[in-house]
Amino acid sequence: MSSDEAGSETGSETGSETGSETGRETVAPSRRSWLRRNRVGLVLLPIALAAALAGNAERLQTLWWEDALHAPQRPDSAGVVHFVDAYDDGHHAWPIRPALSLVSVARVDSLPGSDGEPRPVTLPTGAVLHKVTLHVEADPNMILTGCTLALADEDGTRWETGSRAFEVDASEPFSPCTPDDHPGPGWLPKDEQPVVEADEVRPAGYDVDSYVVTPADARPTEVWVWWDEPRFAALPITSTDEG
Amino acid sequence: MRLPRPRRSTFGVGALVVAGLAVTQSLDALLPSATGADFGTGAQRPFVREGIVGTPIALRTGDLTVKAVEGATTLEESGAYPVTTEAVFVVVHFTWKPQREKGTIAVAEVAGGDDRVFRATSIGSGRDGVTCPFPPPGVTAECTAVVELPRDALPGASVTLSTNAIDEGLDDVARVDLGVDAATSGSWGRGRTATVSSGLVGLS
Repeated sequence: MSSDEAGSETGSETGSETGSETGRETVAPSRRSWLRRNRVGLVLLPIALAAALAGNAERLQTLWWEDALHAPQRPDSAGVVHFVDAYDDGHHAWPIRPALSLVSVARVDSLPGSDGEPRPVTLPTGAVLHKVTLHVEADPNMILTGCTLALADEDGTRWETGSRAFEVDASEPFSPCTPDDHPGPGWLPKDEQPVVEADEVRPAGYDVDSYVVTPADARPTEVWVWWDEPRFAALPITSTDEG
Repeated sequence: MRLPRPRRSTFGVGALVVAGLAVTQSLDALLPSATGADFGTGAQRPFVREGIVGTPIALRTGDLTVKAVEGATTLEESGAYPVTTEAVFVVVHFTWKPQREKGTIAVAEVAGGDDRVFRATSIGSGRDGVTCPFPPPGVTAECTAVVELPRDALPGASVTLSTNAIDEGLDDVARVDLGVDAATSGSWGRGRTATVSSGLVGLS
């Protein structure tokens, strides 16, 4: 506060000592005039608040939106999800655009061994095993490695493949989205370009099995498939799938 | 010099300031703590869920039940040489059942009766560490946590188990008292052997 202001305040204070009652009545601002005097500020206040929140919103993107499965892609009337995503690390980028559909979800108690014969599975207490069969159609040059599949219930509880939650004398399929022996092109940071071995070329359309452990009382309603969060394909399980 | 007489609006501003302080104060009371700003400390400290041996402790991401807490000077683990100590191993046997996603218990911390904290994680040292699988939701895992510490830290100590080894801030952690006092700390677990085991219930 400047000395001038301080002086004038004290001056008015001492000068109006006797007539303070009437003085206050005439000077006291009414509610209406306060609103009028501050109308520009009042209009700008919500805008400033919104701008301040928006200025901090990049945290939502990096700490919340991209950190979990938030953007489901649902099937068309034929039951096919035309999945749209892309890998992009700033140096390499490629599309991930397979057509995904659900063939079946069924409870099983064995996995095929290396000779194709069924091998019995030992499960944790109170758990059951589901075999999920996915149908995939995609350009054989498209990189489809590195996906995850899960059964999900209405609350969003999810049970993933690769849980290692059972014992069996057989090997679990390597990926829920590509055939084990024909995974198609892959990429590692040392490579300039995606590479595909001649005998690993992926067909344009194929079925692929994967295995998921859930508690016996689990009620999964959808199969979720994703490469990078937050996007995922959500394929509804029709009631006839689970026997 | 006389003080200027406050205007009516000055009281309004004052009331707003006091209200702001009150809101801050109540938020401060609601959040775990008020001092420090590092990961996992101060206002970012975890929510501690105190429990007792044998009773499930409900955490945000699953249920944890401490089955037993024992002291030992020798550790046995299948496939490894026994390990001995001149100090003491705090051995916690517990079960873990995640709720919505797969998950595990990654950290055990023993806070001594003094200010010291002894921490072991799922990346074990070969002596202490947390051994716990990643069960799917609704499937129960049996786990063992081992923390090695000097005997003079035992009286009044408690063990805290948490799911995130990088930052347990603002998340639930489970805490169980060891039940050791100054009279028993000298002999607790001396000469005993504890077994480290883990796996999903029902699997070998």
